[in-house]
Amino acid sequence: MQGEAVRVPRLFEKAPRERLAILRILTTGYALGFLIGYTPNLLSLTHLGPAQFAPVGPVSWMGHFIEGPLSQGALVAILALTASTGFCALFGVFYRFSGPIFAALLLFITSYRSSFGMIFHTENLLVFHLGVLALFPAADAYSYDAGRRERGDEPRLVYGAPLGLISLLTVTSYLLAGIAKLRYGGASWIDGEVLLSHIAWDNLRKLELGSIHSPLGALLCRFPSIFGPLAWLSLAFELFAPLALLGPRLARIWVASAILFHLGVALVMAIVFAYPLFGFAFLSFFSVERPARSILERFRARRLVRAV
Amino acid sequence: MSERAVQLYAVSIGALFFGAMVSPLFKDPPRDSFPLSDYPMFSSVREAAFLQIAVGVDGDGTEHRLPPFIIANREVMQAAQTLRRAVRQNRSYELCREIAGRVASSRAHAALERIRIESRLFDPARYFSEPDGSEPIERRRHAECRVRR
Repeated sequence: MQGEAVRVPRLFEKAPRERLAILRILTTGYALGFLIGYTPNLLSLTHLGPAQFAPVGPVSWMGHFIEGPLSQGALVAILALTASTGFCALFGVFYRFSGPIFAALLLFITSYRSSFGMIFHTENLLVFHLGVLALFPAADAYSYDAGRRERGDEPRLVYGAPLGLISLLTVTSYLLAGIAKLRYGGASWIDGEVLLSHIAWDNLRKLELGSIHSPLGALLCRFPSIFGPLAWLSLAFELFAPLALLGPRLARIWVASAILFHLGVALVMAIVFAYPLFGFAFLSFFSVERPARSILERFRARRLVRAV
Repeated sequence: MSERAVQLYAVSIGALFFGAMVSPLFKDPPRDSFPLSDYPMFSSVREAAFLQIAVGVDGDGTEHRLPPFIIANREVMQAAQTLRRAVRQNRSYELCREIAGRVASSRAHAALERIRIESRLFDPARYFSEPDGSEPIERRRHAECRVRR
């Protein structure tokens, strides 16, 4: 990727409407993929029974209405409503309403998934990002809404501010994880003991529970000395995350480190944080409208050639 | 909306989301939740610990590991929590019967005759690095039930 294509948005930087629109399409598209992919698992939660129900987040705030797992029918209805509003948000149909409703419903669904004793940390950033997008005019381009109203082409603050906010939230989440490692692990984290013990425990648990584990992680556990440098690297990556907001070069380096970090986690622990691993979490750092414009131009050129 | 109004709006939204995100840092004692978390996972040393597991036993008495979807659903962590909570809440036999029911209708597990739920003590520091590290240090049986077909 060219250097000029990498942008580090600040809170008060102007941006073209297409950039925010592409972010809406890709982030909402990812969220819909997650929703559809996890639907069978979400439906199977009904079988877990009330004894295992331990509501968290918004699901616990709704404790007066939800005392146990939702019935299959209610869950199907909520999933269908979430998917419908998600498609409306994706295509920018009445986004002022569909965006916030979809963000709220997805927050509920992801919280519900974590309300059975195991809190998943894979969708935290996604729900924050969708929440910010929903509160800004992210459907002023490449959308049904855009077709109904004329918009100016000049970059505006209202399209740039959410990009800055999303980037800020992204680096903050990694900083929090770094602080937790120092707070709870301290010296044990720095010498690699914590990292080794978690990679070993996670893989042994998967093996004993008949699931897929990482043979690479299991192999690495035989060489404890490598975990010290690995621990330093991952801690530095998390604690220095805010540096990514300071300049394009630093942003590029940090985003590449983040993807490598999650690739490493996937390889040694068989845990896939798909949202950051495939780069969706870091789109706000880039001028994502440029590839979209170039694809559209090529498409238009082909149509023109055919017409001639 | 004027530029000034946009600035004010963005700062307000930013303060709300940023404040919410960092709020778990200031909770005492810290409490993990969703979507607000201080990300405590992987941050303190994992010592030797009991892991609750379910195994199937065939006619020869050989134990077979059961996949997560037989225990709870396809998510291994949810299967682990299902077992852990059942043991903690003294519902091991109840869960054993549920698992036996699912095993009975599974062709892939036709050879299994009994289900056991146990807590097994493992030391992660030894599990992969020592020849007998994968052997449980201690076993505690919570429930055993027959698979009725």
